[in-house]
Amino acid sequence: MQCHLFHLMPYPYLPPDFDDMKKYPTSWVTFSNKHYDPVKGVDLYNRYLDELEWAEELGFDGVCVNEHHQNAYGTMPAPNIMAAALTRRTKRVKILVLGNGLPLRDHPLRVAEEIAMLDVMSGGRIVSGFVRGVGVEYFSMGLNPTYSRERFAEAHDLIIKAWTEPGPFDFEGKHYRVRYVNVWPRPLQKPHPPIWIPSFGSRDTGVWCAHPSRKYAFLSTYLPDKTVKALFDTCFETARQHNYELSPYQLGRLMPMYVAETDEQARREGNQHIAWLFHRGLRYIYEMLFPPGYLAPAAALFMAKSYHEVDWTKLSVDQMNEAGYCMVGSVETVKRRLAKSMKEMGWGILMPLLQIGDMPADRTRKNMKLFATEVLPYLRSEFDNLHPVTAKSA
Amino acid sequence: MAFKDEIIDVHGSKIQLLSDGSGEPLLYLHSAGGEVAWLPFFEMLSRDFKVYLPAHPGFSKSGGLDKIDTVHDLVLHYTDLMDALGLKNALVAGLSLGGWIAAELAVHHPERIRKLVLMGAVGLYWKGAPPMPDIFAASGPQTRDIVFFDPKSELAMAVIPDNPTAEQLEAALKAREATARVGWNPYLYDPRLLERLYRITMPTLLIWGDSDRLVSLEYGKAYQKGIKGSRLMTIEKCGHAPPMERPEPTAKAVRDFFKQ
Repeated sequence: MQCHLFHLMPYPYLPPDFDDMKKYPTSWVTFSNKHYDPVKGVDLYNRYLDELEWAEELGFDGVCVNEHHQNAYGTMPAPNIMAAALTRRTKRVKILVLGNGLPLRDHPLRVAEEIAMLDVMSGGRIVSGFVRGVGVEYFSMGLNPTYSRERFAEAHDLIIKAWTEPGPFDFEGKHYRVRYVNVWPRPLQKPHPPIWIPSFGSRDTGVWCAHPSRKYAFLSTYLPDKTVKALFDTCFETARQHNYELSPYQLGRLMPMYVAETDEQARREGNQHIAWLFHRGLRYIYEMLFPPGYLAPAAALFMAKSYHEVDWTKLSVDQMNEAGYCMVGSVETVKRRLAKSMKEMGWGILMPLLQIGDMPADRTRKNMKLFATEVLPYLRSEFDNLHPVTAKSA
Repeated sequence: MAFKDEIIDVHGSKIQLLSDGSGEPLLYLHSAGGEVAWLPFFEMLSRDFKVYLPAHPGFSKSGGLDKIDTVHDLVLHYTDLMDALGLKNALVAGLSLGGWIAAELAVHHPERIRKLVLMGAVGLYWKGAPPMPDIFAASGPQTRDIVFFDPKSELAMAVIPDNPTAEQLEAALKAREATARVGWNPYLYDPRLLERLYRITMPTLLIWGDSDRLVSLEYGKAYQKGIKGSRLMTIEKCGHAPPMERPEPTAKAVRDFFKQ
C-alpha cells in the first residue's frame, strides 16, 4: 500500500459568531478576505510546511498539496508554489499536487510547464493531479462553468501531448489554440508524471480513469463507505470490460482521520476539528457549489434531487464517522476499519488528512505520530505482500 | 388549448415552437426563466397576431446549445428560424434575456424587424445603474424576491416553486445552463451593444416594471437614450416580468404599439 499525508492548510481564525449561518452562509467566495490576517498567515504557512516536511521523517510515502480559491477551508490557491517549496526541503517523498484545476487556468500550458519544472526540480517525485475545481471556483474566477467539462478534456489532451510529443507542434482546439507547443523543460518521469484524479463521487470520472488508455488513479474524497464501494466497483467493472485487472494503486481514499489512545479520547480530541472541517470549512451555498453546466445534465438532476443526503451541515461527526466520511478512533479501531475497507473495496492508496480544520500544532503532531508509528506499519505488513507497489503505479 | 406545440428543425437544431393566432407575425423571445408555456399574455396577443414562441437553444425541449457560444450565435439562429418559418420580417418582442437577443437582432439585421418591443431587457453595461444581482448564485426564494413585485404571490410560487416536480427541475437546470452559456461573463451583457444601439431604426417601445429589482429602470433609460425615437413606459406594481405579473396592461401596450 501507499500512504500520502494530505494537507489543506486551512485558515482556522474564523469570527467567533461564525455559526450564525445567516451572517456567514459560506466560507467560500463571498466570505470576506478582511477576515484573513497575513501576519497570522506567516506562522500558519510555515507551520503547515513543517508538518508536511516532518511526514518524510515519519515514513509517509508522499505529501499532498491542492488548489482551492477564495476560502478559509484551504489556503493554497497556487499548489505548485507549495510543491516547489517542498522539493527543496524533502528528499525522498513523492509530492502530489492534487491538483491543478485545469479549466480554471487561462492556459493549460502553464500547468504543463510548472509540473515539468517541479518534476525536474524534485528528481522525478511529482504526481500530477488534474481537477476541474470545485463549482464555487467558477464564481471566484469568473469562468464560464458551462465549458468546465470540455475545457478539462481539451486541457488534459494538450498537456499530455506537450509532455510526450516532441515540439514544436500545432494544437488547434476549441478553447486552446497554440501555433507552437514546445514545453521546456520536459518532465523527468517517462512517459510523464503519474496522473491522479480526485473526485467528489462522479461515476463518469471513475470510468474515464479506469480506461486502459489512461489507468489514472481515481481518488475518492470525503465520501461515505457505501458511495466509495459503488464507485470503486465501477472502476473494477470498467477494467474487466477492457480485459485487464485493476490495480489497487488505481484507487485511493482521502479521509480526515484522528487516532488516539482510546475511542473515547479520539472523539473527545478529534470531533471538534472534524466538525470545523465539514460544518465550517465546507460550508457552501448550494447554487454556487453547482453552477450552471458544471455537472452533466443527468448528474445535475440527480444532485438536485438528492443533495439533502450529502448535506454535511445536517450530519453530526459521529454520524459521519460511522458512515465513513471520516475516521475517528483508537489505534485498534482505525487499524481494523482501514484493513477491512482496503480488503473489501480493493484500494491501495491511503491519503489521511491528519491536520484537520482548527487543529493546533501539538495535537496535529500527536495525531501524525500515532498514525505513523502504530497504524501505518500495520497496514504495510498486511498489504505490502498483497499489493506490491510496481514501478508503473509510482 | 388551441395553440400548437411542435418541434421544428432549424439547420439541424431541434427547436420547440409554440404558436397560435392569426394576423401579422409576432415573434416573442423569452427570458432566462424559460417561459415556454401558453400564458394568458400570449393568448391575449394571439387575438390580433400570429404569435410565435420558440424556446431558445438549450431551453425547454429545444436542443442546439452545442452551436451557441455567444449572443451573436443566437442572433444568427433567429435569422435561420425566421427563414424556416418563411418570415421576411416580423414584429419582435423580447423579455429580459430575450430582450437582449431582440436588441442584438435589431442591431445586426434591422430589416428583419418591423417593430420592436424590449421588456426588462438585459444586454447593456450601464455605469449609472445599480449592478444586477447574481441570478446564478441565487436560491429559489431569492430569485422570487429578485424577479417579482410580489414574491409571495400565487404566480411567483407557481413559476418558482419550493418543491418543483422532476420536470420543472429539469427545465430550470436547462434554462440556467443555456443562460449561463451566453451570459456568465460578461454577466448578461455585450460590451459593444451600447455603442451600436444607433443601428436600431425601427419603431421601438421599451416596457419596464416600475419595481424591476433585476434590471432596474436605469437600464431602460439607457436603451431609450441609445435608440433614437424610442419610448419608455413603465408598468405599475410590477417587477422584472411584466408579461407574467401584469399580462393585461402589458399585452395592451404591446398590442396598441404594434397596431398603431
